[in-house]
Amino acid sequence: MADSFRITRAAYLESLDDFREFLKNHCGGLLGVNTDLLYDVQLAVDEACTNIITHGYADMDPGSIILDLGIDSGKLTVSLTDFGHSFEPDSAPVPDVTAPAEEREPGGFGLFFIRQSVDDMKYQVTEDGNTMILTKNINPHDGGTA
Amino acid sequence: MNQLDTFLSALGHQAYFLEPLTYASTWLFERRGFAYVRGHKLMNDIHREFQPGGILHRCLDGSSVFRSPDQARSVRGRAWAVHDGILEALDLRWDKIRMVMQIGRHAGVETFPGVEY
Repeated sequence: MADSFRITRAAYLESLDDFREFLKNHCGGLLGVNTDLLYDVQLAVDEACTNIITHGYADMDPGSIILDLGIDSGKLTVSLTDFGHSFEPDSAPVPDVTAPAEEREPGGFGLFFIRQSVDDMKYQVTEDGNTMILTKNINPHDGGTA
Repeated sequence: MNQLDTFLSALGHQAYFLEPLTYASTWLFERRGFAYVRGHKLMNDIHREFQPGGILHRCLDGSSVFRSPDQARSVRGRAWAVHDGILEALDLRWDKIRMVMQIGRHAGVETFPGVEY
């Protein structure tokens, strides 16, 4: 049976530390969740929240970001819900990661990093908010703990 | 509120929204499980500045019945000061707060924790 945990914070950059700490407190020490895996999830959440803060709540007095964490034997699921402007992930420009650093456009790497860091990413817009669902598979045989 | 949740859920809704008129009612809706569409940062800013040393705390100078120093410690005291215009000290207004209730899911927001109403 899955365990679930929730934290809600205001959508500004100061809240990112709270989300990182929350993930560390609930995932660190779990079988199969080593330091690298935890870092991947924290990075994906960092990037997703930064997108919400800078784009979702742009031109608004920021509302909330709700982080729901689900822990199952085989995977971690993080759902991030906000109530700002929605976006279409598939229409976001794909950054050219092969270009020389000096020729790259600044920004645009958030979704790239998220997709690289987790095993699955879904985005849905419903009546009760915009929700990004990030899934990270756990391999219990990795053994290490964060 | 529970009956409203049940009723709206029966109609197929997943969430509903409201715009609280006062600081006090906003705090009460938080305790009921609402999150913020707009105004979460404003509520955090208000709480921070009502702490000793904060700008709003300094504005509670006893100059009127709405600016008594002990008002920082209660929701109702802060509400009186907010609606007396104390937010002008932060160049802010009590405006456009919008909250959301995800039916069956308590958001757990607490912008003025551990306090009596």
